[in-house]
Amino acid sequence: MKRIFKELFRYKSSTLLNAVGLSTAFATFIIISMQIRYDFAYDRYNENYHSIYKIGATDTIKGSRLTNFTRPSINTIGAELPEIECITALARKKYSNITIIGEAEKQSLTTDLIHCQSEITNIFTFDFVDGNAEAFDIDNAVMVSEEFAQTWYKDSSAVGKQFSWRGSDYTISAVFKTTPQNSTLKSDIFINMGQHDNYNTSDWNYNAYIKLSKNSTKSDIEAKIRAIIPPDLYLLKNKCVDVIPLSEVRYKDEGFDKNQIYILIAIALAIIILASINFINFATAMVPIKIKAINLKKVVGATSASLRANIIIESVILATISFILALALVELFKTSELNSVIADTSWASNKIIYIIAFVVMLVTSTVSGLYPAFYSTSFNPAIVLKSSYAMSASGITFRKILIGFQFFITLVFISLTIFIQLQHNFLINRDGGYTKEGIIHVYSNINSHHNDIRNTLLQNPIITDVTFSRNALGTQNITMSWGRSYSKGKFNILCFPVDHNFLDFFDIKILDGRNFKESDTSSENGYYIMSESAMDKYQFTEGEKVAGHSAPTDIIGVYKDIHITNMKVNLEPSSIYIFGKYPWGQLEHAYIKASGDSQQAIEYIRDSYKKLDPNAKVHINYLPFEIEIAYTDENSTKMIMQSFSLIAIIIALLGVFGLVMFDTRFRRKEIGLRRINGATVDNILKMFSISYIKIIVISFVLSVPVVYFMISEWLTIFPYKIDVYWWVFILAFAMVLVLTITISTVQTLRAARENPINAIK
Amino acid sequence: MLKIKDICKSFRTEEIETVALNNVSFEVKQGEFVAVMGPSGCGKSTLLNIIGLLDNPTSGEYHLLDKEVGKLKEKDRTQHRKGNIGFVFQSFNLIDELNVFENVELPLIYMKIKPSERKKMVDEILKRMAISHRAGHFPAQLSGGQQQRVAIARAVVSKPKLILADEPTGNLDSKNGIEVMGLLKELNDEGTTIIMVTHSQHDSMYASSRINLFDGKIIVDDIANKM
Repeated sequence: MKRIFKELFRYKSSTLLNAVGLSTAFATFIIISMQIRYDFAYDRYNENYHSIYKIGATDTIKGSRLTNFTRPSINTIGAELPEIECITALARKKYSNITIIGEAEKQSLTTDLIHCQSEITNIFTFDFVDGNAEAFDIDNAVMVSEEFAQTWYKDSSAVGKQFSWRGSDYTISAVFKTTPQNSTLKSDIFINMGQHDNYNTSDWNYNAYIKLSKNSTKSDIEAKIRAIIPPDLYLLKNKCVDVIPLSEVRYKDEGFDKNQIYILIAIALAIIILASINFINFATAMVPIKIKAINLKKVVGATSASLRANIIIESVILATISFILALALVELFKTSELNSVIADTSWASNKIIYIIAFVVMLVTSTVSGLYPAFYSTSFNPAIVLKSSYAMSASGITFRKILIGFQFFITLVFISLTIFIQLQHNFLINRDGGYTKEGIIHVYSNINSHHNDIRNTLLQNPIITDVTFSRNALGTQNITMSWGRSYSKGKFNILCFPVDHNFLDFFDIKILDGRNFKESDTSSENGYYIMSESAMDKYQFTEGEKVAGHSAPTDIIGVYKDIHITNMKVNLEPSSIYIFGKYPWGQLEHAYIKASGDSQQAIEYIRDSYKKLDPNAKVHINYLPFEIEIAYTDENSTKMIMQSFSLIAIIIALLGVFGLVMFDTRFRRKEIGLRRINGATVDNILKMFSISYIKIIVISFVLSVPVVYFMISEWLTIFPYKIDVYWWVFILAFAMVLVLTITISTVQTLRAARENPINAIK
Repeated sequence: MLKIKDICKSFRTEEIETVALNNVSFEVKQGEFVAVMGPSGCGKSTLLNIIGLLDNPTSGEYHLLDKEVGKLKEKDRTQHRKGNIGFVFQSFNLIDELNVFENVELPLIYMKIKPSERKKMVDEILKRMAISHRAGHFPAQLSGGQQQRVAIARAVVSKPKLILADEPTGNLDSKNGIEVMGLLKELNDEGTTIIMVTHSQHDSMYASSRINLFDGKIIVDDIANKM
């Protein structure tokens, strides 16, 4: 054992490079595996995981999915099909403002809550710590998570405590153990909605989850639901009703890209393979140096088997040391900002990952030790000791293939990373049809009318213009959608209520008719301005009265289409809408233009809101940043790809380093002989570079179709996307080429400059 | 051809300084065949390296083809070596990964001779060395005598004015040794200057003059005697 440590210590540079590569690889493997575990465990805490389904309808032409239904239709499905053991209608209330009714003072917070039926506790798993499922089976009953109870009601039991929401008070009747982060139904508050909307056939606000009986199948139940769904549900036109298992909900309806998991698995595997290849390369690079000692031992009686065992043990020990370093790197990662990229890095959730990583380490180090062990003991000692042994040509080809694989992985990672970055930039910078630069976006639960906010803000001359909308512009996947009847049948448009100066503020072009005026807010039913695509699709005429919120509403103009949602979804026919004298909602989103010092403007805006309502929560950000946040999914794919491909690239380059080291050692005599026969230092450098360029070119040719296929597949999820640019491939090629030639030149230079006489001794 | 005057060469490590050559002077004329003799460690190989422009002397003068070359930089030494000097070693020193043809072709590549011309020159010399039939073989597939013939072919393919041979028969049996010496003699008869380091009295008989080295100094110098 002592001898093995001495060996490792003697060849410091090789041991060090090897340990750096291995520990980085193991650390990366552990971290990525944590994310993979999180993704695979998604929703699996539910005991009924395999029998829970969500009802939806897939558009037969566009492929998009509708998952919102009316409560009566959900009730019908539940009542008529005995195969459905339980069913719940469920509406998520995002950004709900609730006020905790505590002993001392009122505290308000913005949170997501779920409006549902009591059946939900028979479908999904709730682990009650206080109260029980029966306690939730009463209209307006509330169950909250343990975490919520502890945060807002401190140590006392939360059961019996109250909060208010939308003007009503609610009493908590049960507390459940906080559901894991990786669950579809992640929410701290569930409210039993009782009879709410039970007969409302016009509000398509509800998801439907079912628990299917053991002996019925997905296709069975789909056919039966289709048979009973009323045919006149116009929103289902061109759509096919289906059910998707809980395991698919995250990918089909929550917009999470399943490819990301496969990308992660590919990266984790690639990194381990890269590290093993490096390991083999470094170990064989040492052979020309160690071979004499190995064969001397053979001559004095050591068996090949014992020599091989020694080499393998040496490899396992080095890997174990690297593994311990890797654990330290993982801890370091947890304390860094990068930690947020990975969903759950806690020790408790990831014990299994550490065990798997340890086994992977043992297996890879043993396997990687095999080749050098057999290779270095395969020579005839008599020849080796005379120093004139020739190493096998097949061994060299084998290592060239290994290094080619590393180039291949590096090229794939670099190209993919560039493409993902380009697509991300493309989405963020794509023109939505309105001005967004320099505009400040404010979202608040403030209790003041938007006109008061405007007047307060405009008192300071640094604020130059203010407008408002009911929903957020450019950031959401979906926004309010109205399905209505009119003289030519049914229409379905996005409806976006705004303040009267909205179109001017955002430089949205009026193509026909007129813009809103301030006096429109005192009209009877408000007005529509339709998008060009809505006019085309539904053949509206300007001045026509069509169904509005509750009464017929005039179309007063036409605007050039803008992208009201984010760019992850297609442009839909839309309308911009102004409330009349009976507004049915608040304009909660403010958009502000300011001149001069922006920091000063933001502070002034915050102060103004606080002045109007000291309890208001104010969220201020620049609109372009806010839009960028809407692409967090792509952003995290991008972050993961960028950080881990960087690691893969570094590990691969370490491998190149190892190969060059081996090559220059192995070919030291050849270099000397070439020099004696007239080769200059330049000739030698060129010769080495060319041999690497050949391998890179082959790897490049193989990488192009792979990257092309992967990136084309990935881009299909976007309605707006970049082309698969050829120059990205060339750029990746050039980067790998330059880096490799630099490493090769630096490494070979020493060997080429050496006095050739020393090399041929 | 070449003139060496008061050449010294010492190697210095951290602790000691070893003097390999101590004020060595001699001259070799065009077309001579000189044998350098002496016991192991007397400085024969060091002398040959300096003559072959593989190393510089610590002090002294070295004129090769009427040019002072004793203080040249590595890059310039390579330029002077190219095409002017051919080497033959005791352990052949062929490149294992290259076949016979490619090994012989090597110096011509670095002299930037055209491929077609190269092929002609290599074919010619292989024929002359009687190893044409082995052109596609690798060194490991050849006998010692054949390997040395390939090494000689490589040394003379560029028609150098000077051949330096470092114990060319040291690794050969007597039959192959005689053959190799015969080849060198033949080349010398055609006008090529040869300087050969050897232990063998027999081989030294092929030479037209001898230098005997002992502890870095010339003790008997046939050339000096002649002069």
